[in-house]
Amino acid sequence: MIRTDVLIIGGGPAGLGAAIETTNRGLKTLLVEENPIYGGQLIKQTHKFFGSHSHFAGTRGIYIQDELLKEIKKEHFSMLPGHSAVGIYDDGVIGIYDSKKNRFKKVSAKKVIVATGASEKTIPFKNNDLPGIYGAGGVQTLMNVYGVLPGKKILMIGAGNIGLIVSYQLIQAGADVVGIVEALPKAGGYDVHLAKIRRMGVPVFFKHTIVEAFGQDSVEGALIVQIDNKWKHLNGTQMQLECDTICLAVGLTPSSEILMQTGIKMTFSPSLGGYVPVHNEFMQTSSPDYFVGGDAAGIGEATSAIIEGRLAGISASDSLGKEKNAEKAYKEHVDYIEKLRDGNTGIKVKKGKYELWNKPWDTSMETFEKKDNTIKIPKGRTKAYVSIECYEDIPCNPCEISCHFKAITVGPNITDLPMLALEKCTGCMSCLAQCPGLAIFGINKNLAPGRTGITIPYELLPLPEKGDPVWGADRDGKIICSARVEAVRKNKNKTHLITISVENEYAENVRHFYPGASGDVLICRCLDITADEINDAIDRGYTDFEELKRYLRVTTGPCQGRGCRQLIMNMIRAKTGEDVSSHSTGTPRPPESALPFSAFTKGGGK
Amino acid sequence: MKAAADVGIIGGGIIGSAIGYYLTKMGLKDIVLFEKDYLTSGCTGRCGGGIRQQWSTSDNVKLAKRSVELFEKYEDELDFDFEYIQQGYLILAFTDDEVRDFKKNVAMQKKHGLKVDLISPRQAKKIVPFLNTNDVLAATYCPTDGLANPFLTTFGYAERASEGGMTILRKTRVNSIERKGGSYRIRTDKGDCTVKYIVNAAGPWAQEAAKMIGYDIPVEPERHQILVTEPLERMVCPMVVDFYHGFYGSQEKRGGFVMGESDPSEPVSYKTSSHWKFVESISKKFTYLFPRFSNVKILRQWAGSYCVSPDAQPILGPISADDPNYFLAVGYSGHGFMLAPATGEAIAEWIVKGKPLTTDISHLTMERIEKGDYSQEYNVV
Repeated sequence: MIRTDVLIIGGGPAGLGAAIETTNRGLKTLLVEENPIYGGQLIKQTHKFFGSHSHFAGTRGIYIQDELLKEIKKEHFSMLPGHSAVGIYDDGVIGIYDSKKNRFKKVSAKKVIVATGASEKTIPFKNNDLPGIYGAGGVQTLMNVYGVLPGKKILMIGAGNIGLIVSYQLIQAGADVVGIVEALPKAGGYDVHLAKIRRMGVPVFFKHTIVEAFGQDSVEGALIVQIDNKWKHLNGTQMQLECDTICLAVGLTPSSEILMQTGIKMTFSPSLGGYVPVHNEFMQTSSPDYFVGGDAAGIGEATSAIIEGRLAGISASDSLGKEKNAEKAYKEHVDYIEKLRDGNTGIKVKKGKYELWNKPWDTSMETFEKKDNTIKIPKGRTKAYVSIECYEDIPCNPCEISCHFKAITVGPNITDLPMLALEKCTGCMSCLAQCPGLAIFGINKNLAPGRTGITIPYELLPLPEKGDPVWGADRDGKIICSARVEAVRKNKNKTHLITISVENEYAENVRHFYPGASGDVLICRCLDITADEINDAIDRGYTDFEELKRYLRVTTGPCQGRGCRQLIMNMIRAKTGEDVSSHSTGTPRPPESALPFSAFTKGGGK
Repeated sequence: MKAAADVGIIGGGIIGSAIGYYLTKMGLKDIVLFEKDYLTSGCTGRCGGGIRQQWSTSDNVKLAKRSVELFEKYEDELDFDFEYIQQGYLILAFTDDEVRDFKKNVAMQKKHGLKVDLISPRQAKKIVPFLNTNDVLAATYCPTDGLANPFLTTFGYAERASEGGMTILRKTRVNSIERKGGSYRIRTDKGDCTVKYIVNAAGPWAQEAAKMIGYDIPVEPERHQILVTEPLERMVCPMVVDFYHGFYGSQEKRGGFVMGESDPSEPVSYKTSSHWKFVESISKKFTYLFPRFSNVKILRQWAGSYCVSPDAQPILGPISADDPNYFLAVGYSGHGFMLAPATGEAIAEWIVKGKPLTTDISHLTMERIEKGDYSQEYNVV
């Protein structure tokens, strides 16, 4: 029998948060984690966290578990990785299973904190047992923990934060996300996550659902269909998408089955994702010996899971008489978590918790006054500045903290929108790399005559190089112009800043770029002339369209340049940075389309 | 812009580029080439690319033969693929007069060491199995004639000449030339440059460039139309020339058939537009000669200028005794591309070494024109 003051089940953000509080109060704490690695979902969360700067906002999830571990007092702490809790028996003994040694062990603990997280929901559709269908969390683990990409062409089901984030990470890993299917008319996830995906050209099918997966031995495609407000399939809207992987991100449900064995009170809460143990504001369940935190207590996000874990840790310590000023200790965390759950995105969880706590709920709490944070740029502005494209009240303030010139204000309410004081903005662009939503862009209208520099926070590899020709894409990921990489600023936090230049007329719309026409991509499809060949020729000095045409024969095929003339002009412009619009681009000649000699020999007279 | 240079070349076509290349090869570095638009923007950029040695005058044969020697070395020497193929020229005779002339030409050409033969229609059919030889009386065939890509050839010369020190000024138009002591001041829209030698390689605009120092040279621009077909699988097909109907055509290395015709009614002009009469007329000629190809598709027709001299031979060398440092390389009459290597070499020798050494071009100067003492080149299409 292992004896301990506190047993924590689960080594994710909530469990680690709880351990910080109990160990720092001198309680002997044992943490069991079923996986060989600590961190729970953090270990695969390569994106930056939202929230308050003082609580890891702007830090990538994968680094947070180490930060949490640092705060745990090691002398009171022991961890058992690879151990899962399998039962809580009538005498209060907790059975744990050492999967490595195949051994059942018993733990006797004064207090138990359950931080077992969540499990992924699924949805029914035809052939949903075909190999190639995964939960989004599973895909994220495969990809970010084990370095295995499950497929090349992915269809994501669900536009919540997980669906959006995993889609983004799949693209970072080199996969092609063919689309995101979302039953609701809008994304459940943050707008900024959606914007990130959209500008990379991923189509999002709102008000659609998956009907069927098809394929011989594994997924080869999916059939999706539009639905009406009552979720009824609309005839004639079926669409086939080719993919080799279907990724389900249709929600999470609390994973607190182990607590049900103790006979504590459970309740069903749609806003919290399913059955949750009834608990108070300080995370104590209906039993004074069991505490809960994180997704097991209702689906939220990782930052609030840490806070809930800490609250559970304080509560457990308090119940063991190890907290002298409990009220003060609670208050800090309770206040912060309330703030995190303000705003349109967090309010659902707040409401669920209030119901649980029998706290009065006023529907006016569900409406938020949103400040207008759009700004007018004075015509004469020559200095660079930032464009903050954050219009949703998500709890977040790293931009405010990162600005050395106090040009950005969020204020004490971290769900308030960031306000830019243009006159204070120096265009230093420090905030770009800090924004977890990658929603801030740098604008420099004074880069070169007629050209605007756009600085984009960029997290894809390989990074471009200065001088590279690239394609400028708009917020929907559509290529709208050619661009040129002017600067590459590498950052330690791996959000790199790439400055591209575009012609002024595109400045308002370009928010992403694709690696330029390069490699063996065919540009002149009539004559099989590749982007590399064209770029090489331009490098060699064939920067005049007419010379390039005669050097490579581009545009001399049957289409006479219809398909590629503009692309090639863009490539020249992007590479040389010169205005070549006045240059001749060749003269289209008769016949407009190829005609046989016989057509001209059949009479016709003089 | 460079304020001064040894040589100023006017014209960035095949002739100017070749001269620039041979000058730098002979060690001269201080050269500026003035091109009013882009390299090959004049006749070269519209040229069909034929390389023929079967001419009716000795001088043209000599120059063409020397050019082929240089073309054969080009790829190694310049390390530049210019799509050269030696698949021969087959010239068809349809009349007894032609047969008589061809016999004379072949004898003369053979004297210059050219491998050329007068052959029967049956032999011609063997060389080009799909050729209609029904009305052909005889033909001449030279297997070392051929075809290359005139644009690439120009770019190769220009690239190597730039590496050798030549400055190429594109989009720089020469507006006027002033004599300045023993030198010339070339005034352009981008600035002035004083040079010791001028080479007029301005193709169809040669006359204008000569007028800038007060000479009227007898060359005129004349439109010639041409077309290319869709690419076909490569077949060994020599350039087929038919002076009688006025036709030439051959398959280029990339598969397309390039063909043109001569139209005696074409007036003097800088026009390079396309006319429907051409496509109708050449379609008849082509399908007559190549009946099997009547459903091959025409991709594109275009036109370029010949810079025509009175005897259809180039005018080379100093413009006059008074201006011995103003050189002409003009009046090529539609065969400048194929004569470019030899004449480029000759002009460069003349400037660097004081006289042409490799090929004798003494009959091709302005003097013959002034004296009216020249022999007409008849083998022009």
